[in-house]
Amino acid sequence: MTVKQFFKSNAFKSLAVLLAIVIIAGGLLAIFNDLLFVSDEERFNRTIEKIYGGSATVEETLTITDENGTFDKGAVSAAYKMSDGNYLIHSSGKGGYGGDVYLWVVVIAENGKFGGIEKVLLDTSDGETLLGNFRDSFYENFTKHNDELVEGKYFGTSGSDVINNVVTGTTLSSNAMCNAVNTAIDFFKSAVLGEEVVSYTYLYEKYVDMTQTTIERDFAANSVTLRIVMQANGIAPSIAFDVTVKDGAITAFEATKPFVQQYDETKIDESLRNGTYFVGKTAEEIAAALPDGETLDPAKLEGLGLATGASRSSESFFRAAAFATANFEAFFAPENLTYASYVDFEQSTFTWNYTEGNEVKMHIVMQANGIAPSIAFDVTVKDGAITAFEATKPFVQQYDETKIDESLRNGTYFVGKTLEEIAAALPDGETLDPAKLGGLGLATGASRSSESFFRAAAFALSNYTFYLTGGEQA
Amino acid sequence: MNKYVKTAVDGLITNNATFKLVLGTCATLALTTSAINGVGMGLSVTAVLLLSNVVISLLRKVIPNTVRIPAFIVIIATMVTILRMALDKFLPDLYDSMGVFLPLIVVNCIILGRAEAFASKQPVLDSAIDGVATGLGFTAALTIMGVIRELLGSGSFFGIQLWDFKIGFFTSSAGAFFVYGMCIALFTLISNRVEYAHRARKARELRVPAEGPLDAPGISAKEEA
Repeated sequence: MTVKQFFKSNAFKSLAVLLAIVIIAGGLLAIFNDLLFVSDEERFNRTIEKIYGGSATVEETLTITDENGTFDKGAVSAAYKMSDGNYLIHSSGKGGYGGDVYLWVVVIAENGKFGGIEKVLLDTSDGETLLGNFRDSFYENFTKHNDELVEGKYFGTSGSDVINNVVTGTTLSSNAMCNAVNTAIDFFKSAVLGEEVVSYTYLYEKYVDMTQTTIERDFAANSVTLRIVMQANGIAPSIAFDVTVKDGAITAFEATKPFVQQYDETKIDESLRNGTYFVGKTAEEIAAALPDGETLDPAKLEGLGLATGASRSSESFFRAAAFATANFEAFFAPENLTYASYVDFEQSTFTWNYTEGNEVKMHIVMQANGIAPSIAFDVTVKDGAITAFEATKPFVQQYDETKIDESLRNGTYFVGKTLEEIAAALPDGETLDPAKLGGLGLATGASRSSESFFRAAAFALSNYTFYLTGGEQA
Repeated sequence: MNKYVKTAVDGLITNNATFKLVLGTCATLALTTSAINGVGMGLSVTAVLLLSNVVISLLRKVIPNTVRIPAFIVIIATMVTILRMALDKFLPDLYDSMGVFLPLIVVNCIILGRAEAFASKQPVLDSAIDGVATGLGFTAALTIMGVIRELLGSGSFFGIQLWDFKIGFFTSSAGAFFVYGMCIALFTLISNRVEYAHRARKARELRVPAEGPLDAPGISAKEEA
């Protein structure tokens, strides 16, 4: 085809027309963008008008930094002291369906103290699809629990020790909104009042001494074995419990004493002491005995006798059982972990033990990687760095270990490494880049297996904090 | 029947995009939890349909057949983006309530469907009428569903609380499918009855010359049908 023919061809005409349409469309969009642009100031004025109807003005703009505006479950991007004395806070909540949710929250300041929530207004949330389901009653519900908020409670979508605010069918968006409101409350308490904000990862966590508590997850059996050491409860001393929860119900419950003070066990009902009362119980059944999330209600105990003189200790039993069952799903929740797609959670186990320091022992069984079979690793991470790394084979197929560099096989390459160092070798998050290995030789024929080694190390390091605290990923 | 009237009736009723052709289902199910959302979405689609139909009709002799679909999509996407900007500027509450479904109008089958089946082949005025009629048919359908779901699911009508009685099912996804199915059934029933009556009337008219007037002794309208 000659140049002349090309310019006369249908292909050129099609291309030219399409290009012209795109250019004109682009020009139109640019013009309309200029005409219809909504500035930040205009948006803010709209918000003020919506919330206050012109009855209040901004008195002071608070300075937001990464330090004072970032929280576990959200962040604050703007905050203002209004002329009515309250604070208008722009906060985001993590955990939405398609991203974070941004809210405007009016926090009541009463005589220099936290007085609750006056109003909650949705700002933006482009990723959420079902925001039409949130009626005014949902937003108003945030303002109807100020007494409980002042007592220290927070909003949530499940659990007995939170103020529930959830719209059925949009639990994730509800959760993100609750997180945004809770973040605004935390910001007010910490940045405005100067209080220390304690955030809990787990339900009932405030009754538990997490520094002595251990959580052992068994993904294959869908069970979790816990050594729960409770905080002292009034005059009752700290009590430790060994609890196993499987499929959400308690299968073993035993009060143990070696690490804690003696408690007056003779006054506690025997079915509590030997754990038979709790075996088979689920989170809902146990939560029913703690109707306000903390105080034991004897009327809800199905005839269980609570002798005078040990009610606080008995309460600790129930709180421990509630901690073990109510957080059952939260103990696992590995789906959002970094590098999780390469790990076979059915066969992997993770053990966290604070008594050994900030140390997590992981038995990570990797998924097969192309032609490379599944490989298992025993990895220990302490204070964010690998302290032991060993490839183990008993539960997996044999892999051609002779081709893999010895320093990888015996783990010496990984010991002392941090996440940044390991992640650098996996620049796109999955493929091993031989140029980034600092001179480590990767023999042809075992590159996929070697990749699994690095992915296991990356998984262990990036999720160390998660398994250490059971909370969010590192 | 005047061709413009026929085009309008087709878009509004005979080929109603929602209840007859079952198009634009995603937005229909998701945004009819309240009547105002239904109206908002319907009018937004109507605006885009009108503009895109007009532009595509104007360009129908310029756009080569081989690139018509990408060209249509670019035009529709432009219209939708302009609509988004306008709503954000002038109706921010509606803009917020429609969320992600507003940009998704770009892939609404109704719009591309009318562009491909009608606007790319018909003059501008016809295309404009088709766009408005189809859009209003969609709006009416969404409004009807929105009213039903809001009344039963939230006890309110266009945001005005009427009673405390609520059936949560109607605001759920399952409730949306249920109401949608019931509306389609009712629409089909009514349109079949109307068509039946129309055919009967036609039949009567056709028989008049051969058998005399309908009110002639021994012939009733029912027997004719």
